[in-house]
Amino acid sequence: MAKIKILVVDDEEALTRMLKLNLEAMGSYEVCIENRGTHALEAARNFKPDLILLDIVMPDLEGSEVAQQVKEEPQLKNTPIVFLTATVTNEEISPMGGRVGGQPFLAKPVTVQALIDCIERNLKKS
Amino acid sequence: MTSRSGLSTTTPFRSFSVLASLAAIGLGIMALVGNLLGLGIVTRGSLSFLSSVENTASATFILAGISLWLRRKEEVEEPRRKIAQLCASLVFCVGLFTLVEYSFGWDLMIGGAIRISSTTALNFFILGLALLFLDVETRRGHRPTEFFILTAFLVCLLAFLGYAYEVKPFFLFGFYLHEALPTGFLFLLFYLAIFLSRPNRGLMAILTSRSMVGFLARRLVPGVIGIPILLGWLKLQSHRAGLYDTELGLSLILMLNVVIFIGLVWWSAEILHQMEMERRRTEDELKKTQAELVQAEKSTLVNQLAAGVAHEVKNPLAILLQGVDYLAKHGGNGDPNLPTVLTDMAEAVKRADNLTEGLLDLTRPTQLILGPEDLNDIIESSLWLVKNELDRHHIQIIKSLKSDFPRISVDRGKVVQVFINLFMNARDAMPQGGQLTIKTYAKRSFAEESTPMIRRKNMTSDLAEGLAVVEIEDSGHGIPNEILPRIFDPFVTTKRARGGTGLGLSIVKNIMEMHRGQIEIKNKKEGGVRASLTFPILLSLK
Repeated sequence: MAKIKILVVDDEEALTRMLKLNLEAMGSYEVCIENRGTHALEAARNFKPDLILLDIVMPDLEGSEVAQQVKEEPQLKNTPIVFLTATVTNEEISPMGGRVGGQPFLAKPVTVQALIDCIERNLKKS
Repeated sequence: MTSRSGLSTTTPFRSFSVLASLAAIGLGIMALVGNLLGLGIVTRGSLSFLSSVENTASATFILAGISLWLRRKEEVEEPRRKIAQLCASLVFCVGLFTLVEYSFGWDLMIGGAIRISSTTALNFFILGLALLFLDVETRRGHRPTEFFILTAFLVCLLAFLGYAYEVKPFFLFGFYLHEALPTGFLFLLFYLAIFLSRPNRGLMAILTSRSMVGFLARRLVPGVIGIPILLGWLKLQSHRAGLYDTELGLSLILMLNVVIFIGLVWWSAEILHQMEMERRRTEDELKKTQAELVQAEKSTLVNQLAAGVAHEVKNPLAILLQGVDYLAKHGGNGDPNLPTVLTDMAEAVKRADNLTEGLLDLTRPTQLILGPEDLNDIIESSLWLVKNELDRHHIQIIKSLKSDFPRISVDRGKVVQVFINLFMNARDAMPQGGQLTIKTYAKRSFAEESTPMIRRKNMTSDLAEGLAVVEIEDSGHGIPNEILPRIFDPFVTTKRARGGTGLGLSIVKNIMEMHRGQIEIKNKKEGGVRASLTFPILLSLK
């Protein structure tokens, strides 16, 4: 069975390493890491992920701009994006079903289980 | 030279001064021309009063008028100033030389055949000095011109009183005190005009000041001058009419003097008192606003700092939590302590995350989701959420909730957060158990009792009818007095050792201000703490 391909874009290298370890340890995920927002689109083109985990505040390019670039790419426009960010709190996004402006959000820090639940939920929707 | 124009109203005084100088020039010309040419209007007509003004006096008045008019502004160009000083010098010389003529019996040919009176000469002498020294000011801010004018004013006043009281011409300090009434009038006009031409300087600065001192001076000066003159005239007239003898007349006049001046002082004191009260009120409001401003600035700074810190802390926490999760699944090398260690680590991460969430809560201008809510119902819901905690700590709940309480416009979730925070604080204040009393009631006059710092646009059009008040009291140990004034500041806590972050009451205050409400926390005399919350009751919800 083909593994689910997840692209993790975050400038925190240690966090992306941890996410890759945890998700790949589940056995059903293949994770690609990109720590630079400016290289995220290229990584997505090459990796062709099933879902993108995307940080919002990055020094070189904001996550929202990366998402815009991805949505404008014909082969990637249907790829679900989950924002993983320290800029919102769980208390703020839980009453809105984990979505802000229609986009799924996960507030850092997040447990592996909450992360997988969110990934599964958004993969099903897509 | 100091100008106090910021505190005074000077334009009318300057205008009067300019008009007076022009009037003096005009009347002087009319008198001179009328007398020289024998014009009927001056010799016999409606301006016949001018015929008594000697030609020398008329010409000198014209010179004085020109001098003052040229220097109507404080800053004038050099040629203008020189002409003005020349005219003033001539006025001074006419006065001086005529006085020399009188004193030594010489004839210096001043004024030709008809010599001006010694009183008029004295007045010209002083008037010339006053004009020459118009803008001179001593290092201590005294103006010689004002001294000259006040002296001359007294001479004029004496001459006028002489007329009013029908005194026969008399000698004073070697001068024959007699002056034609129109001449005296012109002198008075001049002195007033010179005095008013520099309304920001010397004594005039006090008189024109908007301060209480200026106000008092403006009230009292006319009375102080006018009342004794009037009373003196009354006494004289009634004495002449044989109404009473000198002793009785003097007694009556003195009594009247006392009554009128007490009235004047009383009236001024009353107004001053009101002004003082108003000033104090304004000062208090200013102090309060300043304090609020400082607090707002402090909060903004703390908020910015907190937002930055919270964001930076969340990333390392995310790494730690992921690491803990990984080790929980893959770090099993048989160490029996590992699960406990990892659970402790996960809890520590959770605690740190709670702190950062609290910080973000503080900093975020969260949008309120407003709806008409029953405050008693919100209290009941909040109590239900913490009931187990309160029971566990043997805390008895006493409720006194007003039954027909009006609905208020609030964000239910946020207000629940406020109450839970306060109930939990009460629980922590009563570790051995105690009483938690909750009271609600309505109060009127919102406008007087609430001065919210934060006003939201969508609520400003509503009319607040009154206040909904909630009082939450505990029977605990109270808040240390040194902490009480800072109780709403971020990171101020009495529970640091027990893991308190010191953000709870800051968030509570923020939420209350977002609702245009207020919160006050005080220690009760009988022990424990009382938190009083006030929410505006809006007419639009009735």
